[in-house]
Amino acid sequence: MRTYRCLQQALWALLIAYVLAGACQQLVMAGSHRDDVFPADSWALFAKVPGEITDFGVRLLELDGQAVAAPNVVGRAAKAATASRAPLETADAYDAIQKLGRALRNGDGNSVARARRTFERIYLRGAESFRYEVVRRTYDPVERWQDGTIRAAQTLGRFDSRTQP
Amino acid sequence: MSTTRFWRRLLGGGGRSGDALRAWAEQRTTFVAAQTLVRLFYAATLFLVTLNLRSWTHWARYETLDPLWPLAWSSLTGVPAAVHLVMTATLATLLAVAVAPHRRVLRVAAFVALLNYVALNYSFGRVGHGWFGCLNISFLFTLLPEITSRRGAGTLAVRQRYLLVVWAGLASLLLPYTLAGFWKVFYGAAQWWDGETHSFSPSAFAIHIAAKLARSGTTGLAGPFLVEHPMLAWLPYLGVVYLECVSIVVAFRPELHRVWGVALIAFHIASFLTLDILFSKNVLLLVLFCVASPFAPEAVSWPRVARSLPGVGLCVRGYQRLWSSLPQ
Repeated sequence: MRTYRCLQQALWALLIAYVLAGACQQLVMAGSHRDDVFPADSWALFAKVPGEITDFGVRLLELDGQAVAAPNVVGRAAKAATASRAPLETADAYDAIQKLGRALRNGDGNSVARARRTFERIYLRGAESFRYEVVRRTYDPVERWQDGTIRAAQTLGRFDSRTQP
Repeated sequence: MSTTRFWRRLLGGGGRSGDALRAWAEQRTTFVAAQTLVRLFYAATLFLVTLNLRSWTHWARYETLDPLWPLAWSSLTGVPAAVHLVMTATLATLLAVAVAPHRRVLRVAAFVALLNYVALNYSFGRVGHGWFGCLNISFLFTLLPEITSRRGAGTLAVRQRYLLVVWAGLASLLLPYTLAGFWKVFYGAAQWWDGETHSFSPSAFAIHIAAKLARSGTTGLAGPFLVEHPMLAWLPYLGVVYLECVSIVVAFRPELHRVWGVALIAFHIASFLTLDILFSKNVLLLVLFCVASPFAPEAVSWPRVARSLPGVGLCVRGYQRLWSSLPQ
């Protein structure tokens, strides 16, 4: 019976620790460092209704020596570039771009280099040459869905395959 | 009333503690079903890993990862060697533990291998959620007691511990739903207070669909239709918030396990059709732990199910109390 009680208490302790780690990640770390607390998670999925979204996109300007036909299609470029290169969901590329964007916004050189390495070596793998820029964009999701409107876009950095991170 | 008794009454659904204890009374039968469930869990996890086997070749071609902490050692071996090692260990340990799930050493080995495998899955710039159910349960199953009896029945105390851990596995599967629901209510209230569009607004789900489309360029079959007609999704979305919020309470009410399993599976299918988000691993786990729950009674009447729904029993009892207090 004593072992049973100990096990019961250990399970309650685990449950509380899991919930607290997730809450800490969500409220203190603002949900941006999920890999630090892996495999704990806040599970704040679709929790906030986004009125106006500000996030980061990649504008691919040149791939394998060829200028990209519609470089102004911010965000979708990531999908086009990765479709035949990485066997991953597009959401993976999106999150990698957000890491790069956040690092650029914060002016953190080491994080920029690390995020660039990840993005370029995973999502632009196999490209002989490339040139792209990271853009911070602001949009209303419904408005963007209806007519593609992006209210504001600002270039944060420009990179190419000649300058290694 | 003692604190323990209060929580037991609240989570177990009022005065029907006999229902919650039924599984313990029929311990021997439940224990056999629980043992089968543990074996099936490892077989199902092995199946899910083999479904993803093509990634082995792709991952082994990478020179760089964005490794999560369990894979920090991959910098010593290089990515291709780490991929081969993790994949081989995961397949071998899951196969072994599916054959002999009563061996703790195998369950621990399977958990360590799975932790590395899941970390590998999420070392490409994004930490997803799909594998968390398998990982959490495989961790909890390392706490299962050793079964030493030849007939596999063990002693009464061992059986009790075994059932507690299996039940914890079920609860760990339902807990994330409650957390997801909690944050929707938490941020919903905050956004409501700030005068913004919030989780309870008629347009909330339509905005989520549009935002998902903007982020990833994909949406489910019914997504565009619901963005155009947001009112149609309003009540179902509020229903989902309720379904998620009270999920952990359902773990304490065996008569709801099957119904909740079916409802959560329907929710995952609806998520795929509207948001293009597929939690197929959780669907399999819900089938095993909720729909085929070893704790669920064989037959439950619909009125019983309705009365057991979290909040409903409370309302019915309150109404009855109010009615009986009125002068006749």
